[in-house]
Amino acid sequence: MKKTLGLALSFLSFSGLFFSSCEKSAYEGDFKEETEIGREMLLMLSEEAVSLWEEGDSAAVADMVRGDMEISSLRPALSAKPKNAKLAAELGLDRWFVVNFAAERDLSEAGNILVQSPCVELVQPNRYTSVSPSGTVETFKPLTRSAEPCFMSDPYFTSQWNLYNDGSLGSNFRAGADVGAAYAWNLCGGDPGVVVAIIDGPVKYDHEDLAANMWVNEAEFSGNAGVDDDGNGYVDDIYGYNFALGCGGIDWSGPGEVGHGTHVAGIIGAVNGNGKGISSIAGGVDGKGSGVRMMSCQVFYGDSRSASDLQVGNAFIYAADNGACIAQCSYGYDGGTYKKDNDYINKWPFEYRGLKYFMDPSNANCPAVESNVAVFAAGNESTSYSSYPGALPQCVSVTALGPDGLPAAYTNYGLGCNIAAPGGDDNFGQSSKILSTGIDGINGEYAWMAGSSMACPHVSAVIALGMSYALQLGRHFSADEFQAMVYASVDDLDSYLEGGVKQCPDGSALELKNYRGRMGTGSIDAWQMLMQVEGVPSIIVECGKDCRVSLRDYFGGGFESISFKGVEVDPVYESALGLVSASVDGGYLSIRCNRKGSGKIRVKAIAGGTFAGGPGGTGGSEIEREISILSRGVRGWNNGWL
Amino acid sequence: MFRNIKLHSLALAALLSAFVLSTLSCSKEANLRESLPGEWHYSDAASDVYIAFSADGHYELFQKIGEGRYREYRGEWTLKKNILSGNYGEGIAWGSSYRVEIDGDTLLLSATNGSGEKNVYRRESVPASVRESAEAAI
Repeated sequence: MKKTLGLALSFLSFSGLFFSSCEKSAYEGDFKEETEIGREMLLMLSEEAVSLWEEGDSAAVADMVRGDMEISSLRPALSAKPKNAKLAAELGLDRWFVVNFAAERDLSEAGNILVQSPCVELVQPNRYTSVSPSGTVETFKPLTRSAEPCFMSDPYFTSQWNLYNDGSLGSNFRAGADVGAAYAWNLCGGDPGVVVAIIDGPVKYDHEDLAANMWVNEAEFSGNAGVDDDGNGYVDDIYGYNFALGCGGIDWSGPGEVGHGTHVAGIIGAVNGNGKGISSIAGGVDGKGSGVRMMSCQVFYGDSRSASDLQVGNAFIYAADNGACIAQCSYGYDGGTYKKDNDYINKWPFEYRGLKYFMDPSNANCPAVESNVAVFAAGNESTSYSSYPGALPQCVSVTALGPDGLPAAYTNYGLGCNIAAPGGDDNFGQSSKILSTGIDGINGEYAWMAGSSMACPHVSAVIALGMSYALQLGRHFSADEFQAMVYASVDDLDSYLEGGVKQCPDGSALELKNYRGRMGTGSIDAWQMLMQVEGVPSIIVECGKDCRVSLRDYFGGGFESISFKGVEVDPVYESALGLVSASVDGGYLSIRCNRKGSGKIRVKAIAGGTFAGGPGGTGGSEIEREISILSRGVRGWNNGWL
Repeated sequence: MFRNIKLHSLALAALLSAFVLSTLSCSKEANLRESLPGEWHYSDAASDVYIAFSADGHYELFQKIGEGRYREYRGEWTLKKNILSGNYGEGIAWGSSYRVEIDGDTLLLSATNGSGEKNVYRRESVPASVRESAEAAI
């Protein structure tokens, strides 16, 4: 059995051959369905075997592992010693090893032999994706529009409907169907203390519109070539690390390289206000590189190399250990390939553990938020499932919208999808795609692309902007609190999906009602993210009366279509408010308090869908907002004081 | 006759009293109408509110109740006797009308809806930073 998994990379879909999965988990040692041929497998060794290895007796461990097989090498899966050794040990990362066979062999057979060894606990193929671009990347040609907003001095801003859409670029453009960046810049344009790891193809770090906002490892930059100057276990990692080739140099010279990672980077942090190229969501405001920083974790090389479970897992660990607080991941395994978390976790054990390492609160790199955040593209297969890993409840899965604010035909939607963002429409012409930075010589310095890969960095950038603003204001949030704030930072989307069709130029039509309630909580909005960071208002209720109040401020523009799961109140607040009843339905809180005072209640909801995902099935993310209640004798219109 | 004179006197006294009270009431309303316009500030642990009453019957309200930024409401106010009523524009009435008492730089607004809600405001200008950063309530 073979499966083809695709990466949600714009329309450069990653389709490739993957090792098949056994229906029973490798945890049980059943490889009867593994029929692939290869030289390499991942093993999780017993604690005893790892101790032996650490004591220097690697030969004894290799002997125990190999049985009667010929192996050429056995080495730790970790590229370098993690900074957070305690967490790495808890996750078992230090127990994963890579075994290489002397010759190609049937991995199913090999797996069943290896798992017999008393020192081997788990066995998995080191799965790879292979890259095969389809679709097109178009070189940029400037557009004109009648009224130019000119919020930034960057000349191509007028073509960036995704940042500011006044509806003037074409008949399929809707005013307001944008990420709201032009308004957010009045408050915050980003902060260099916020580092976004771009786990993707290479970022062209010397691009005229990116260089000033690149993350730079100063010790390596000013150090010696070929030397691990900062002692982080990686040599010459100046702008990040090239996990695809196993070296420090970020490399965009690979055959067939289309600049996907560079395009993603430009959406997040192209230098704003420098009078060159494009604007970006979190690229600062002064033209001097005051935006967020972008770290290139290159896991793809051209179209001839691919990313393995091992490489991607190590990229997450590197990102965490070197200061990234957001992992921007415009890739995933085709929507519907996995339909429950455990299916994904069992097939990609090292990536999953790397991801957990990245998101663990003990590795939080932004002082404003108690956890790093991982953002993934939902995928481009037009299916009603998000791709994994984005479908994991802990991750953010991003669906794609066109310039009309409606779902793009390619986007995945439904189970596991959390939030929507502009991704461009590939079949409405060039200007309906997303304009961003490109790689010189192949597609030009600026290029158009479309895909959930382009939607994903919009959300990463808005999160980065939110973290930046929190730093600016000295605010601090728990991981759960911040995640809920992100999902509330949205414009309503579902009211546009009540009926009708979206007619595409190629004759196809999307039944919009099929997307209703399935694109996530709404369309991401930068201004609302900053308002969430500033703080949302207490809800005023009138003492002694039944009140029904909107939860828009707490759950965003899509509050009326979110699935709510209940209300919880601590006894101390129940008493302070004289709380008689509290329930939530259809985005409104029905509450009666018989005592004047203030208190807090907690409201639970699902971000994306009607139920939470988990080991047994793909679903949304459970979120919780703490809502401040002020019970007084008067309540005016719209929470007004008088 | 004496009785009639007495009754007439009493009626006259009553009329005079009514006139005096009415005059005093008008005078009081006039005083309030002169004193109310201006900028007032109320704050407690949970709320921070500025109200700017204009003499032309309009007002601006800036409130920060839990959020990080002031929200701005606008509308019209009217004063009849000592009862202050108003709206949020488009005919949306306030949650209550209020009995007004002003003593120097102190304004007491007591809700007339039976809730017992009373808030004491101090005469204080709306800071420019509040005006500049406020977001319109929509």
